[in-house]
Amino acid sequence: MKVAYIFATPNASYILNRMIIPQLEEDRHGVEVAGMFFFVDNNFLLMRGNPIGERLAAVARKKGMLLMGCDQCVYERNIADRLLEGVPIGCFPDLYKALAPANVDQVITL
Amino acid sequence: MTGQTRRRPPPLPPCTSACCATGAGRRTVGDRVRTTRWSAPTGDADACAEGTRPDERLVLRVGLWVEGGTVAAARFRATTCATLLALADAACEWAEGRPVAEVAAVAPPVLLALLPDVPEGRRDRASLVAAALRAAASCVPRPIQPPEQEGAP
Repeated sequence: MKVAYIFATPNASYILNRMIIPQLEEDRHGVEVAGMFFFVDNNFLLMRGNPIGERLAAVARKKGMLLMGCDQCVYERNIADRLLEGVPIGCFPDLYKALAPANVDQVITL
Repeated sequence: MTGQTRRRPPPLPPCTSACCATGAGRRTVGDRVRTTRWSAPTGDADACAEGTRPDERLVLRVGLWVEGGTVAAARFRATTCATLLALADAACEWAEGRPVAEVAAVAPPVLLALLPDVPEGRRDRASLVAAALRAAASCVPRPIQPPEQEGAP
């Protein structure tokens, strides 16, 4: 099964750091993660130097997983020029376009 | 105008972003996304034009109010792409007070220079904004010249 995660709550860093990233690193997450999309303050995770973001980016590179920040949220936080290398920003049309080839089974909001 | 009252552009709402509150002056993309001050109805404009990008269903409509060959006011309406909104907002502010001929020749780098914090992957929006602005400026009605008198030198 393929899933995509949308991080829209303040719980994102906890769930990523303590559950999803370790499981992906250990190849035991149970599903293939096609992509992750970050809303509001969760975009701070995607900043260069953020330990969770750096770890996530490494997993994403290894597994070909999409990471994308919400453009409006990123702009409002003035961090567009401080995101991890290769992490695009966009909105729903960009997310759906990027995920379309992956044929995702579930989109899970956390 | 013949017997019609000239309609004014919608007034600019006050800036509520940090750029003015902190005295920083220059508006970032974030400031413009928070308060798109130049976004307003364009129906009463002297000249109006639309730019579109069908593949992404992006639409931008720019309206210009012109006085004596100068853009007195510029307003826009756009589909909800944050970068497009920010660039259109900056472009309308830039156009105000400039000669129509200068606005009619605007190129994307001019607009991108207004918002250097637009990331690489989104800079293509400037082409759409520049095209709409150029099209609107090209639609500005030219003043009617008095006919030359016969026999005039």
